[in-house]
Amino acid sequence: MKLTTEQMQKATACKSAEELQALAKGEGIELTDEEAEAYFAELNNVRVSDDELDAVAGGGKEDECPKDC
Amino acid sequence: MSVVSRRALILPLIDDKYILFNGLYGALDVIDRRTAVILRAAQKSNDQPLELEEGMRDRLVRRGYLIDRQTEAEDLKILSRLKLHAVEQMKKYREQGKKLGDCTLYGGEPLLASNIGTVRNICEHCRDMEMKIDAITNGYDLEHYLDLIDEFKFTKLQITLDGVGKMHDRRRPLMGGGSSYERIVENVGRLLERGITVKLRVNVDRQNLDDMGKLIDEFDRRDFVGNPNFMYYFNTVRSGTNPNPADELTDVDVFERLRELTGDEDYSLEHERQYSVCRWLVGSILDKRHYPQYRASYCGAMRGMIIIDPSGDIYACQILVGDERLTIGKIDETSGRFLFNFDLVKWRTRRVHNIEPCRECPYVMQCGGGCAAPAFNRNGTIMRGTCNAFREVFDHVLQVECREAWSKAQAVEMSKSWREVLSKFSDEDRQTLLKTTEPQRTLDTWKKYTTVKELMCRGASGIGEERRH
Repeated sequence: MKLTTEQMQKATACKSAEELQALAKGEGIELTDEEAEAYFAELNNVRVSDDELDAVAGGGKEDECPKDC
Repeated sequence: MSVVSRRALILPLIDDKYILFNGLYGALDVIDRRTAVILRAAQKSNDQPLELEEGMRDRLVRRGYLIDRQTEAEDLKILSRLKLHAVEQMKKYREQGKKLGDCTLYGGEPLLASNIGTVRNICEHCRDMEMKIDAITNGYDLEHYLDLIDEFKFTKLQITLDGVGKMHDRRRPLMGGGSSYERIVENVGRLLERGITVKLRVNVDRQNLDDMGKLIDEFDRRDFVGNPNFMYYFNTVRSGTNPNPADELTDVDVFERLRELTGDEDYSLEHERQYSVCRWLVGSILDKRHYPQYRASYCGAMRGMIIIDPSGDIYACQILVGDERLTIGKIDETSGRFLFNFDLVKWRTRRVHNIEPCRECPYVMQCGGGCAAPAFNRNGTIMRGTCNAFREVFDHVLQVECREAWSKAQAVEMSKSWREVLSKFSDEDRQTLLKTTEPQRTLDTWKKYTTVKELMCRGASGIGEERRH
């Protein structure tokens, strides 16, 4: 699913996952809801807000594997 | 209709006791031989009546060993999407808003002496953005970088040695010929003297299998072992990526040889990479202060990692850099922004519930689908699993760790089980979790039934942090 620079710029400008899906469809590409949400989240740092997060430790072996695969 | 889950693993524990494990829920139990025989027969044919005591039957239902197939399939999706939508998002964004986490310098070879100006430039930008820096390097030119590494507080250096002396030099030759081993080892020593963390990786195949013992002796001789900043591990050259397939070994081969050389099971579990990862997973499962850790995906390529090559092309996987079929985007030189094509989404949604051949596998929540690189090399698609010897490795570690746990406390329910919280969900909330793609909605729904701390699979002491030996 390679895109031209212009297509990628348009995708970057989308304001929602639904808008992205519609754009993709216009280019003949079918994105599932999950795929559209994943792309949109990547570009927009979709944030979950929760005060409890501050109390939870981070890190761990599971997280380190990208460097060690 | 509830049937015995096909995911249920039944392995000998000790005497007439058996381990019963359902990897989907992280449920880990001890059962007697009679129950084990009944369950094994039922797994082969669900026409067999289950003549179980009522208390046992209730326990098996509660913990997810007896379950209807549709519910089990939905639970796989719910748990896999929990990681995708909520847990990983929380980890990435809870503190840093739009900031990136860390930067790894990688190559080729990033820390060539001639690169130092460029590396400094990159490090200055990283520091301005408050990003942590580390590097994967051959270690050859590190004497030129010691002050820079100190200045920018690299969190660690990963360096590879593939044997002692000529063995290493033969496998990792200098471009113009000549030896690199001694210089690299001296640089490791220099880093350790400065208190910089070194993670030393040894890639093992048939050629250097017998050199592992010599390397361990070398580390000892040079006083690296015992230094709190020195870690090392042995890793197989991954099947599907080795240029000499005839030399490939499995993790089992490497572990068994290591155990033979050292006579130390515990040491071998800790220093063979795959066994070490499984040990961490099983350790988390056995910790009943929180729900069991599991892997809904294999690595950072699925969880937000990007790799930028010198030409500005962007990839998700460090092994597959350079294969233009696998770019996920590029840097727009005019705006300086990352632009992504839709191949990005294939990587980010490579989750266990989306890898069709893997969905029913008992090990899928522990292996996370395996490495995408060999999957692509073998199948032309990343949406396939890679097993290697994961099943054998996991079974071994599970038995070793369960025997240890059983010897200390004879608790027949050795873990918590995700099924116990999933069974509380209303039908409406289950449907929400199956359908929503919104991270906040996923988190809010889960929080009706459990806490954030439970979802992060962390105990009070931050269980899950890496152990050092």
